[in-house]
Amino acid sequence: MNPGIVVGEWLVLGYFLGLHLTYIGLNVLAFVSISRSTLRRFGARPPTDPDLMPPVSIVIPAYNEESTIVASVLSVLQLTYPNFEVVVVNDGSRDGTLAALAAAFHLESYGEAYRDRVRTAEVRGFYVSRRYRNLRVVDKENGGRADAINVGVNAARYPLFCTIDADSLLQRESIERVVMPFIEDGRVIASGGTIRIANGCEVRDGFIERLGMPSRPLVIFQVMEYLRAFLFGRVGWASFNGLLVLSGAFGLFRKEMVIAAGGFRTDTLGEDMELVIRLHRTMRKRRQPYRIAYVPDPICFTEAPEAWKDLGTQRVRWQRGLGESLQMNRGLVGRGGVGLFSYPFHVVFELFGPFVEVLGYVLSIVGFATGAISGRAFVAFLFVSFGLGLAYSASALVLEELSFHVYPGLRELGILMAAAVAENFGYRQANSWWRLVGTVKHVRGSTASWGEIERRSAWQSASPGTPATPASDAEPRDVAPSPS
Amino acid sequence: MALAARDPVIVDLSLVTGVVALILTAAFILLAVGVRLRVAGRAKAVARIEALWTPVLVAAVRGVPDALPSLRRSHEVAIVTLWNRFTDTLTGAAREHLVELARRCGIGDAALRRVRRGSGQSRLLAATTLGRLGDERAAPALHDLMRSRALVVRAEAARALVRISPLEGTDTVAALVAGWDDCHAATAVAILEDAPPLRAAEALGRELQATDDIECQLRLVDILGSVKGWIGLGPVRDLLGSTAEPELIARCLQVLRQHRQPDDAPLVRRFLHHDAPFVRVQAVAALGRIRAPGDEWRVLAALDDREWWVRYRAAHALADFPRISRRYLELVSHVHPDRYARGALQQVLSEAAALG
Repeated sequence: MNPGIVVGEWLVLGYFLGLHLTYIGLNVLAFVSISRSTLRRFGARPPTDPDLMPPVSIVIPAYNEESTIVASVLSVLQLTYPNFEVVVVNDGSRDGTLAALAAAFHLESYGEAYRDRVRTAEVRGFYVSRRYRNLRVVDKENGGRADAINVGVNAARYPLFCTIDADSLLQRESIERVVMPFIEDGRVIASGGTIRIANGCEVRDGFIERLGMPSRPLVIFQVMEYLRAFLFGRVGWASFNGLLVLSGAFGLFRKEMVIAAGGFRTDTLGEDMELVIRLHRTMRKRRQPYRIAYVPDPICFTEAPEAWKDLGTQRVRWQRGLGESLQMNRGLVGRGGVGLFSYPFHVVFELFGPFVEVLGYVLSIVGFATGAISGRAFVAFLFVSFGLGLAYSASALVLEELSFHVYPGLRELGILMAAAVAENFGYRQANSWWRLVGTVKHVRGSTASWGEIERRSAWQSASPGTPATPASDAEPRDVAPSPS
Repeated sequence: MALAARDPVIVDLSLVTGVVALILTAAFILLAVGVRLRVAGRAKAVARIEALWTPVLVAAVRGVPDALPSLRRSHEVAIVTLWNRFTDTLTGAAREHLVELARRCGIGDAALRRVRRGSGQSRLLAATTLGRLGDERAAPALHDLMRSRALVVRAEAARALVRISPLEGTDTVAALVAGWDDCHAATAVAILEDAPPLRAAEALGRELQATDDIECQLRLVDILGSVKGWIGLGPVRDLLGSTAEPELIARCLQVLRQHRQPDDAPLVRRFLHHDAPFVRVQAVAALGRIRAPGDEWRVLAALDDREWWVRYRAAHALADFPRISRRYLELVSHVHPDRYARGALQQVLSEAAALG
């Protein structure tokens, strides 16, 4: 027997054991963490004194969002958080995004004392809304999403800022939930929450009125995938400060820490993940105590791709973003729990794991077809890979039932479980392939782009609904920066 | 695969693992379905109980009816939850009627039983209920709960104790809350919401004087700033006059800024030239809110500060002084020697013009 083959086989076995032992560990941590947060949610009274709630700047980057931007901004203005401002950054849109904003919100130009603490593309102008005093719009030359967010960070007036995609749907109390880690623990520098899929939900005035299950199987597979990823994956990683990614759809950051780390990088597709890893690296280098927190509550809904092609584009992009983020922050290796465990895990199992997975699928099928492996061995391989995948999905459903039960009926539970079975016949394999392609493209360094994803949801192109109540005309909220 | 083919142990282990995984999957699914059915069943039962008791509680708002349904043990949690929901929104005579109803139909006894022996969630509910009932029998159990590891349990128990025994409870809870380093100021404010303000201020002030822990002091300053009627400001002023710790100074200034008491202006002015820029920022911002006569010139001088944020805050503060005219600010925004100060003033003026 060729020694190379023997070594390769042991590596695959080692890969398999390492991966699943980690997943089991994350599951256990997630159960403990969610049980604790369940009790807290039962009795928790949100802090009621507005003066003691840290003010938040909400940054919304927008590029060619003419048909959706007004609805998105209106829904954000209806959030129940007591003290926030909204900064929309028009990233050199070629359509009527700025005009739509100007018309809907009665924008007036003014001169901002703008400091580009993070270097960005040129800023063309600043506008304030006469109708909503806590809304400002910044117009700039096109520079990409990350560049637009950096402008928002520069322009933000409050010590905490959050980034929201223009197509994200928040809950009215989303900010209250995601700000709680900052209130409870002064070491927190960033926090994020669970992203759920909006497809199939009823949306009104930019908020989810009724949760529903999507009708397309491809999207249902993604619902199941998000449950696994968020409910046990991220909760588990966050429990020992090993979280490497907060979703780009919604994350809350301490502004001065982000500026100290250099802001969002504009040369990567995974700017959100890259920033979080860089924050870990920066704080570890400084030897400062810190925490990157995660709130398991569902706080944000986003539209998932409904076509295979779009999903593939998205997954390839995510994988490339992962590769870039990890490569750009190699200095994190060996630093603390995140550098000893989380970072290597993501390199081995998330970045290069698809090679092992695809190889495993191909070799097992070819081996069985050619008789190189016995039927018994083939069945064993299938049993283990499907069985464990099903177990993780089922445990995510239990976590969901013990905590949030977002989907209303038993029928939805049945659909999700059926999806957990069906996804093993094509969806998982496609995902592994896309991730492999993404890693290959990253390694080869080919030109990256976001691509275009078709938006199908009706609410995306709805005209603005009921106008939100304008902010009070009393004196502007004027809070000095925090000492730290 | 050749490995698997050669080594039947690996194949067997894989099969066993797969089977175990499938069994676990089945168990998880049954658990998920069980939880869902239990939740759905509970929701239906709660709906039936609420349908029976809501008219009773609504009637009790005007006066407790003579005939009351009996309180079955299996319905206690639902009824107590409903009772709390009603009581939360009522005050005065209506609330007193509901308290009397609770005593007559045994809600108080049920809560007492559960606070001593119930599960996590029902103990929390029981603590809240006993606080609203003002039931002194609950005090020992509440003291017990205030030793819990979970903050939410401690907080509810403390809040209930303050309601049951406003004076001694406030003293006890203030001392405990000062030491709970996982209890943010906002949570502490909620705990002491029903405490007599003067008693709370005195108790918290004592804790503030007694501790050297800066984190604790910061927390106490925030809590004192939220005590009703500004009574908590005395200890904050005393601390501001005695501490040299910049972070504490900044926090005290922030509290004084929120309350805008003209008598605080002389104290605030002392920090306009502090070494720490964030202290100077808070001092300028506070003077901008207090707006004592003559302070506009001190804030104007802060436009020369070496720190950008101080200049920025000074520009905003100046715009709020009634004695500083817009024309004067425009003049300063053109002639001031520092470009950052000019920029900050121009922004303030420009924004004010845009907003009309």
